[in-house]
Amino acid sequence: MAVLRPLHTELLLNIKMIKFTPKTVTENLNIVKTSPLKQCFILLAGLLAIIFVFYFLLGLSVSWIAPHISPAFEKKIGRLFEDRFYQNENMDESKRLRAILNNLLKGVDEETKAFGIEVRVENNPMINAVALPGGTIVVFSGLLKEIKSDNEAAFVLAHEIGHFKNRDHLKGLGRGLVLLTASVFLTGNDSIATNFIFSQIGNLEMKFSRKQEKEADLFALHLIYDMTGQADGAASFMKVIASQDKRSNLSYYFASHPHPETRMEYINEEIAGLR
Amino acid sequence: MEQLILFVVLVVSGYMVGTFLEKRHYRSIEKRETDLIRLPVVTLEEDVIDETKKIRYAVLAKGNAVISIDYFKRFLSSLQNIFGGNVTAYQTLVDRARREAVLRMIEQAPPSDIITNARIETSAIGQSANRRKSVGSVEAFAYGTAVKYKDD
Repeated sequence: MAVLRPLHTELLLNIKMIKFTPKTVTENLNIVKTSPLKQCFILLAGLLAIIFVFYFLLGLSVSWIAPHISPAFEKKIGRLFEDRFYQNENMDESKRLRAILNNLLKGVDEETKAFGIEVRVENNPMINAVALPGGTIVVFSGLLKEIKSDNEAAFVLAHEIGHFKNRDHLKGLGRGLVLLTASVFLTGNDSIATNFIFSQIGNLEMKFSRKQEKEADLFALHLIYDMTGQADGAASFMKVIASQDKRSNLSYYFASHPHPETRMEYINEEIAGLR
Repeated sequence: MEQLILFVVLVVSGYMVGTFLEKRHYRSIEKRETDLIRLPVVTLEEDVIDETKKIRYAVLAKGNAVISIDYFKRFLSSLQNIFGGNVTAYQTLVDRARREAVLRMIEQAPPSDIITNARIETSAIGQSANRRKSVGSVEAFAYGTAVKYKDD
């Protein structure tokens, strides 16, 4: 203030001598001259690049993170799926498949047993079976209409056990898995963030690669062969699929899998090798 | 997908209409500023009043303007908010509001020789006024004392 004061006074004294000269402002320094469009594109490109890098890293971390998720933590994630899939259980069929499954589980290693694999049949016309995180195999009754014998059902279950063993059901969630894991870990199972991410993952159709399917097929084949000394279930199941018209429901379900003929080929090869 | 299309339509139409209106507004502002340039508007107080003359009246002169940003600017500013730096999207918004408010103050004032003690207040109004990180409309309120001398 001490410095400003004399200046201020001086100005006031002089003010009456100041002549007002009207002058238009020709240059507006308040506004930086830039093209808003150009700026918008540069910023958008930067943002997209960052998102892309993040998305890419997220994709890379899926296969890295999946084997490190403990069965207990997986059960926590799995609880999220219950509402969506547990609606109308078919008790009789569940019981039948549970017996087959328990029989199969006698043949798997301890590590796979630790997942606490269960099976549940839902009354639903969909021809589908899903391996949920947490170890539950949900089989829709639509699928059981197509496959009737216990041997074939055993192959389906063994195939899903193979997915669990390889953690395919976690990898299949893709990038959503990383976000979901982080959210459950940081904010808990029932938080707003977790539910939001879970709802955003969408219809949760697990996408398995053909390689993963082949591995699950071969795992199933070996498991059943070790248990029973034969592999009829696998071969006849493949025959059932292969015999279906391409447009039929069953082959629609297996569209994400390798072609039935290809599956039959490598399964027969493997069976020949076993003998 | 529909949301994305709607968003793009809003951004594009916001850019086109917004740019058109802004250019038109600036032309109007510049023209009126040139027209009204003979009247001094100063921030100084009574010291600028010519004491050799008698004052006929000294009244409150006021004018305000509310300017809103378009959808494109809102989008651009949200991008600029991420990376920091000059938020150029809002510069013209504030500039236009203040200059328009000053012009309206001059236009609404009774015939006068000088407007002293001119001040400008700016506030955010509208739906997003009290929310953080968002600007909806800007209100600028300009006021001062319009002084008219007696003719000798």
